Amino acid sequence: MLWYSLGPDLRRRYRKQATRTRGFYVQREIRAAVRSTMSYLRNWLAEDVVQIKVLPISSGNWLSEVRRINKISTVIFDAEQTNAQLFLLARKLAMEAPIFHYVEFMIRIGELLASLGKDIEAIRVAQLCQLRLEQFSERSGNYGEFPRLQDPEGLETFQRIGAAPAVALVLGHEIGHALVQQAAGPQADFEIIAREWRRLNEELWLIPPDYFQRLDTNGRPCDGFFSSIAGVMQIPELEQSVTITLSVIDESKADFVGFVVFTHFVAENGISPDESIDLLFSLFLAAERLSVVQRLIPQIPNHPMRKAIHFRFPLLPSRFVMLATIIKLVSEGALRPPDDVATYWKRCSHQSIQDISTMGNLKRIALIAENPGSAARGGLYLGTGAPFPPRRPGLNFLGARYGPSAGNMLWEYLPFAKGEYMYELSNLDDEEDPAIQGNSGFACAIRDSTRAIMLGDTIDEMCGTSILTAWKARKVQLWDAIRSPRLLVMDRSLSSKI
Amino acid sequence: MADVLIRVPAEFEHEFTTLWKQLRLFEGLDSSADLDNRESVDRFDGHALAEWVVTLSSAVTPLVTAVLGYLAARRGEVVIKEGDSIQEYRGFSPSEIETIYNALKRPQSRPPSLSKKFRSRKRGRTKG
Repeated sequence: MLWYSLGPDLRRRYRKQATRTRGFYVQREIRAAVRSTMSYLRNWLAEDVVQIKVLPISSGNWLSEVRRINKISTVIFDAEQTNAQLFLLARKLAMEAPIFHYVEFMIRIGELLASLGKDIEAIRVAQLCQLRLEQFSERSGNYGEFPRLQDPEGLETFQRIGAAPAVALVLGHEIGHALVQQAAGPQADFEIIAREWRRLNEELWLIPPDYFQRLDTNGRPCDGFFSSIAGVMQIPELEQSVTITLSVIDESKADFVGFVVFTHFVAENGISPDESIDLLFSLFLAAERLSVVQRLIPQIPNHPMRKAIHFRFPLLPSRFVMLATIIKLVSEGALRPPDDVATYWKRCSHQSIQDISTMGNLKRIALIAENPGSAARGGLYLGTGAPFPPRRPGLNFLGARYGPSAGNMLWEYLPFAKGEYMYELSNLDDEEDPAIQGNSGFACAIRDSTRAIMLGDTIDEMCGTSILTAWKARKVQLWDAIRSPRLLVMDRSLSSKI
Repeated sequence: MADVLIRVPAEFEHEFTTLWKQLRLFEGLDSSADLDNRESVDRFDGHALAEWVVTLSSAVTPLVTAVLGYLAARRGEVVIKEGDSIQEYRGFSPSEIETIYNALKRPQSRPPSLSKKFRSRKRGRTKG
């Protein structure tokens, strides 16, 4: 039905440029959440939203976007993106071992590679993931089984949250973009958000610099760690810098719309405000990790070659800081969302608001937000086969004395500051800190997928080519092969191995 | 006929369209070869892009190959689509341009999916 609402011209255009591969089907639960999100937004913003078209899809690219042509905005809502976020949220709430986070990222990386047309690389990623699972099973002392400890309380919370808040957050964000493009929506609130962003940007550097990791002709980082980094302080020209700043502010405006609809659903599902702060930040953290994958993985060449891998500046510091500020402003009554949202956040405890809104805490939040980016940098560096970079003397002192403002050197070394421990899955089977579980699983996935893409022959030697051979002989479909590790983990045994 | 999707970060849109226009002039083409129907794309990861769909023809292909260097410098994206085959290049480096150039000349085809095979079998059966 929704496909027809686009009209003949847009339909023809989108069919022509349909470059996405089909994922699964959009589940009924998610469709229902999309419909109720839209009806809530229609109640709140009336005719501003009526013009915006929504197309729910499920694709292997797992990325939602809003497109605008001839003054018509269409939100392409990708259910797989929400699914990816929810899977990661479930892993986090159940406090699972890093290997299970790792599997989830490896599958998403495989799906992305396949949808970019890199089928063989995608299968190698699955093959390596399977090897890691076998090693994990072997380490557990009971070969063939996966001891998968899950926190039952966390799983219960996950059930209670449901899919709707995550759908609302993504869809609301995209609708927010469409509203910003049309200069419609809650303009007074948008202006307050822009003003706050500018004020905070003077204290906290909300747009960190871009970063390049240079690789030499053998695909190794050039001349050691510190000299292989280029363009750290790349400053764009004024005109472009203004555009970038405006687009970052627009992100926060769009996040505000997502935040409002998100609140509506968490309130409906009986989640307390203090709990939902954590939930909100977890969903954004998952989204940022997935975004890093989207930007990084397509750039990795399929053989060792000279190249500079570009890390675009992370948006998460700005998003985290602004979310915390939005929560504070809503609870104080400065921003004016619909009544149910405002009343909900007024119930939030004073302590929780303090914990995320003082300047010291905002600095801490901005620093935490660097985690996904730095884990990916470290993962890529080690994935090329380079040794762990030695620690430079003096960094401890600099860090202790000046914190994040100690300069580039400290910032460059950030991925390795926690030591080799977090990049080795075999060390982490009993890890109980949820922050390390998620971050290490992610860092290891980036490291292994870099290897699988760039050093294909080595991977074939290391893990064999059973899946690749089965695929070439057409015994297994590409997408089933890529997703096979998930089935293994769900069955918790190696018996379903293909 | 293959379609090519060109995506440029929103902040470089003006620069890119100017470049395309100049290339078009020097190629001796009229304004029908200009980029039109620009579409803005805002992704969830905060990446704002401008996108154009170009249908490859003997006149337009040289322009697409000419802008590849620019796209490498500005971290643009190229998607080559012919039928079911999709090749997407994001964040490519100058030495990868040759691969894209070859793909533009002769779009690579991926092995047909099983569903397609199934369709053709079914058709065969009805004929038989």
